[in-house]
Amino acid sequence: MKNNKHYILTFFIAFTSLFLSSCEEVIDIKLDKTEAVAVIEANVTNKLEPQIIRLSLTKPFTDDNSLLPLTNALVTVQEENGPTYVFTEGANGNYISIPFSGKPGKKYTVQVKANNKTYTAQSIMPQVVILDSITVTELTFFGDKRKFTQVNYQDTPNINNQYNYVLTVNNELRNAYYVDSDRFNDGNKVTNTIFSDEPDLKAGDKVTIDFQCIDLNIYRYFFAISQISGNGGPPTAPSNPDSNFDNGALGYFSAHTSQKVSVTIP
Amino acid sequence: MTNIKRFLTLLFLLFFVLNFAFAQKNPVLNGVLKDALTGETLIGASVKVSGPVINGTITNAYGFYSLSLPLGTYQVTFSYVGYQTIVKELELKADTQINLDLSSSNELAEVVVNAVKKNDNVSNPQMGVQKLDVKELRNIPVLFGERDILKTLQLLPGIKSAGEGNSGFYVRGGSTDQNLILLDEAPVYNASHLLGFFSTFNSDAIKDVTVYKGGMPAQYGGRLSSVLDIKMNDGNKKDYTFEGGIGLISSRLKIEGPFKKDKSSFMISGRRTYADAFLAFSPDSSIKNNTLYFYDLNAKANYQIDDKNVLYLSGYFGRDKLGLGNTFGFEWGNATGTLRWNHLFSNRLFSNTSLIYSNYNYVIENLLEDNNFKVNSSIRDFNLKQDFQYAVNSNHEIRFGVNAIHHTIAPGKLTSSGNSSVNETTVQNRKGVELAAYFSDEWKLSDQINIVYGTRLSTFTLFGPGDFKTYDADGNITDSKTYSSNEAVKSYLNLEPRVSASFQLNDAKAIKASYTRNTQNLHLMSNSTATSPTDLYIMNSNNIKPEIADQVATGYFTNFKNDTYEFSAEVYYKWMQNQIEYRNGTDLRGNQNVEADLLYGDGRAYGLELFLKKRFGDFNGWIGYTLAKTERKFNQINEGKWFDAKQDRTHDISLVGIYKASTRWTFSSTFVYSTGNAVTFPSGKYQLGSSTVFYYTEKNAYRAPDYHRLDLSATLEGKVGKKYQSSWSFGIYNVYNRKNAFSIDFREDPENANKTQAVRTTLFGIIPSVTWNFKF
Repeated sequence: MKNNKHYILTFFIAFTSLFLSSCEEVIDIKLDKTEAVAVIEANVTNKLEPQIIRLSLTKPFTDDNSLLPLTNALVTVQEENGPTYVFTEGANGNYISIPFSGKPGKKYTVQVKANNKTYTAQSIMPQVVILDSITVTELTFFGDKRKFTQVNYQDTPNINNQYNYVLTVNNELRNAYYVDSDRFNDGNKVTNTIFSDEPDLKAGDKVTIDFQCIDLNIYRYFFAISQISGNGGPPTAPSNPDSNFDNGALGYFSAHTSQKVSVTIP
Repeated sequence: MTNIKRFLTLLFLLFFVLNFAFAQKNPVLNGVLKDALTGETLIGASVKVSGPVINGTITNAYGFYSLSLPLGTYQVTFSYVGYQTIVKELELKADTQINLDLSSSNELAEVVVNAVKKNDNVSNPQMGVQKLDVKELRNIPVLFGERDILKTLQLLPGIKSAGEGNSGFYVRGGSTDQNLILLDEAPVYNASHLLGFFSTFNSDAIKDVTVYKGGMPAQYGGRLSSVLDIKMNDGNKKDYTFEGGIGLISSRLKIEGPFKKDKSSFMISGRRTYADAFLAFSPDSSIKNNTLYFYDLNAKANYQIDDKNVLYLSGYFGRDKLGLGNTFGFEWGNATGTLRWNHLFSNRLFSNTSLIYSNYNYVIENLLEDNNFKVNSSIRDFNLKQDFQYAVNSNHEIRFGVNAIHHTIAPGKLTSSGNSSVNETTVQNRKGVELAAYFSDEWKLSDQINIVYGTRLSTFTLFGPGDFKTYDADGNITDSKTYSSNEAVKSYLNLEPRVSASFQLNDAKAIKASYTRNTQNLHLMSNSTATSPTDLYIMNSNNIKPEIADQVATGYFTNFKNDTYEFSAEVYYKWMQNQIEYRNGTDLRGNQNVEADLLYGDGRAYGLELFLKKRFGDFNGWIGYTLAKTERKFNQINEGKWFDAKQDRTHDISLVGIYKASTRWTFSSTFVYSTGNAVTFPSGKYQLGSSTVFYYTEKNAYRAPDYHRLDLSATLEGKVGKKYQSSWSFGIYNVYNRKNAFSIDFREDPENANKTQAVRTTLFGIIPSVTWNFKF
């Protein structure tokens, strides 16, 4: 629903610009360099697997896009009334636990100690909503036929559900966050089209969707990022999304359910 | 309510006291001034008398003037910019009425010499005001050759464009929703077509445009920054005329004429764009089925019942339509209607009663089978106004009146059909009533000093039915209560004192100063960097308090070289309270609890405005310069420190030159330059998942590149003396093809995913235009 509404505005703008001589050009802009800030990308899923928390530092805009790992950190995750898991440092900023699975309804607390600072965040794992199937649909825009995947599921009535669809195409992560909520379709059988582009999906592509149920903070976190990039409508004034970490860390901690389903584009 | 009653009692008491105190039984000179050719009343025309006393006034919005003068012999001068001046000798023994028809000077031979000084801009205590000469508009170059009053206004100091080709505007550091835009007294809630590239005002139908940037007269209220008062043509009372134009993207037609000569007349004016007409030629059916156009219709009729009573009925209807084959539909538009009754209680007491309707709505349709839906949203007003204007004596003219507006906002009604997965939901409607009463007195203290003082008392009451919540500073609900229909939820009361004074140094030099308080009870919610037709208005509530602005201004005004040149310098400082911002990740659409995501803070704006205008001659035009600063402060943003508002532009220059080369050719040119907007750019980046996310530090601490642009136009008038008149307008927008930034975005380099880049989007390069206009 939300994304469709976004899409209307995209077309509105695209349509208007058809008649205008608009053009894009890469330009040089002098941007300030600031002190590096800790970035924490922490996930705990309901799958029995080694859980991974990735620590890095911000880089200047002009540097390359490789990850600058944050090393020598102490990382723990504690389950509400349950055990505490200690993560061990691996390559490229990844901190890895022994295999364990998070439990829906439980609150998890992550603690990261690095560079004499301690960052903590909490997240409650939502209840599971089952992804029934992935289907493929074809839509025509301005004469172009384009293929999109759709997720089909039965939303749980009377509670607020937030979803994240992580799209992988031919084993390459396409977008890590594509959030949705049941604000307008609570309790319904839902079919949502995932609008993806660059490049368009083509026959033979293997698409895997990690269907996640996420908590409200994480929904807002990813929604804020997509708003800035103007994912659809007029972009909002940019700012850092509100992290659930304290002490000025960037990033997020999400305890979420995970269900991976694959389809080959016909 | 009791406060309103108390205020009204006081008002009438004051009125009678004044009446008694000043009732020196002086005779009154009054009348109505009209255009000789069309019978249109003249707004703001000057009436000056010299004799036993020197005095003067200007005609009101209905062409009416009234002066109370001691007995004696006077020389009375009637003048209006662009019209021939008439001077009459008059021995005033008793009440006298002089109704005059003034001739437009360009309809006469080149003999008009303005012997009389037109220095109202100096002698009038009103400051922060600018009038647009609608006739001048046709010579000023604009985008696509579409004459546009809002875009021409942006060439004046203190009034800034909201973006490339945008008809939204910022006045003295305020935001776009802080402008009160009135079309024949009806508020227009969305003044733009097609994402703001065109304004809703078809200049064919417009008679008078006045904008107040400060020192707003007490009869106006409801917005913080400015009042843009637009009056439609009444319709030619003498003859039928047809007027129109064919342009690149739109065509226009206006028909006007008398129902009964000199008694009643009508005017109908329409405009439609036809960009989408070209789509029909496309061989591709998916393009063929798309729609994109807007149209608007202005209509007005008036009837002069007798010498003391005139009725006016006017309306506007405009619509934008956008459709994408059988996938999406989107339309929006305004509708307004105004019924007015002018009545003369006596030759010194003028009354106007207005009944006003105003509506803005939009409809979005998603036609995709699985999750089809339709969203309806609207804001609707019923508005009753009563204004009095009373010429007490030669030193006092008072205005007073009352106003009641009933607002209904329907933020969003979501409907669906068939097997759509979308649930039907409705965000609760909100109803509110604004009541206001005002009083002001223009007091000629001496030959040198003129003062206008007054006050406006405004109240706002939010009414049920509905569920009304109260939130704490973190957006958590602290209280929730259900109210029944017509039950008052929350009331606000504001007193808005206003005073302006002018001190006349000599005939052509004056110093003026003013203080104004304005309040605003309706707020436009928009957390995007551009405005959209889907932006919603929201009323005051338990959480949202009325916005308040206090402005002080002072200025120096002078005319020189026999009034050929006009110069003014104004400085202002404005404090704003209860300004609104949004939390990160706020979704304004269909959100019942949107108030949980609002943040409240303060604003301040200050600046210097210089304006030099050459008013007459074959070569005329103006230079406007603004040096300004506007900032905001919110506890939750930028660590609670002041930051530049997005509309903050340090320097802003406009140059307008019009040259009448011959009787047929007129050339004109405009140049604009402004500092880039305050924007937030990233100061770093990091990786999340597979994507690069940008790291931002201070809000609005960067600057977009400077904006500048040169436009040219040429108008060729048809030969004079034919049955019909026609003219060609040629224009070039952005002559030197400056690539101004509409937006600057940061993204991964599409060629090298390991790099990031800044991308500038430019909307309009060089654009030529041609329009053919006719009149018969």
